[in-house]
Amino acid sequence: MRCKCVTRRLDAYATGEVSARDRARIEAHLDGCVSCRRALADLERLADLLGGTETSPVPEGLAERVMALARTRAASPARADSLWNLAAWRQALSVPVRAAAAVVLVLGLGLGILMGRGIWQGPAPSTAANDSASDPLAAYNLDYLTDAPSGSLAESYLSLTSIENPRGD
Amino acid sequence: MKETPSEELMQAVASGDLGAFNEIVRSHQELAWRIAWRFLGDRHAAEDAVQEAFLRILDGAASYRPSASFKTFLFRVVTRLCLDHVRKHRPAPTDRLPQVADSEPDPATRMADAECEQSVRATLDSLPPNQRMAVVLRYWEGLNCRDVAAAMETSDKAVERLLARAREALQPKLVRLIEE
Repeated sequence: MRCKCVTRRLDAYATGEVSARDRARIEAHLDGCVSCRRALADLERLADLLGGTETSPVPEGLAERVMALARTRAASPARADSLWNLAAWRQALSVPVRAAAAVVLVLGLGLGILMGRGIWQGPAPSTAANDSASDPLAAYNLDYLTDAPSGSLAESYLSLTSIENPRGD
Repeated sequence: MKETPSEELMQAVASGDLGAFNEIVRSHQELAWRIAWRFLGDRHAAEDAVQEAFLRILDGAASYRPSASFKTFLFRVVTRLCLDHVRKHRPAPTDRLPQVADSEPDPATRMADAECEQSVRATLDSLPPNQRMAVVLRYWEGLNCRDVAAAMETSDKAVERLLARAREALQPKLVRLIEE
């Protein structure tokens, strides 16, 4: 086992979480490696140092404040911020209501899909492609633009789009 | 008097028993506080995190499954909240100013407990959040690597790597304290 692998596993080794096979390999390595033995000793001293420092005491009245918030929460109906709390919804709704909601959801999705397919399937593109060389206005159903007022921007635009470009582009 | 296991209390909480929840809070507030305060280093932030943790436990009581120990569940909730806090907020000033980091104490002088804690605090705060949390859970709460992994919702190997990197960062900065 290499030093990098051993030092990475030292915490697991110190807490007895390595397999018997790995333990044997680590101990064999430690027997012959001063650097890794030192790393293990440093780990144990670090754990003692950190574990020996004091912790700030629990703020007075913390439990009471938590309980006050809990009682307020329990007394109020489903809160706005629990809108996405699925567990709360599951608790609030009865089984028949949940079943009805599921049916409505499926029907709504199905209807949406059908409507979407209807919109997506617009005019057959092949018709336009075949006729674009002859009359683009008719091909792309732009006939309502032929009545553009004289001298208008629309008329100019139409005249531009109707001109055949000698280069063919 | 025999204490009701927390897993049983949670089932009562799931049915709306606030008395059971009160017992849960009182039994575990110190544990939750220790992790939050040690990780965040700020009393106000730590108290907010602890309050929020217990309220989330209350909200999620219906989905708690007793197959997992309550302590592991609590660790997971507090850990997640603390890590979310540092992601959302800039590091808050710590309760104690880390003055000792720049000083050169006399090797022969034994560092006072307060200065030792300041050094530890400053060094801990310099770690990336995931390494810091792994250190808090492993060295202060005494969890083994598997339990640290469960609390941090990651793998055992990831925890080993986090701790190894944290030790590499901590040891040079705390070497004088370690060798005393």
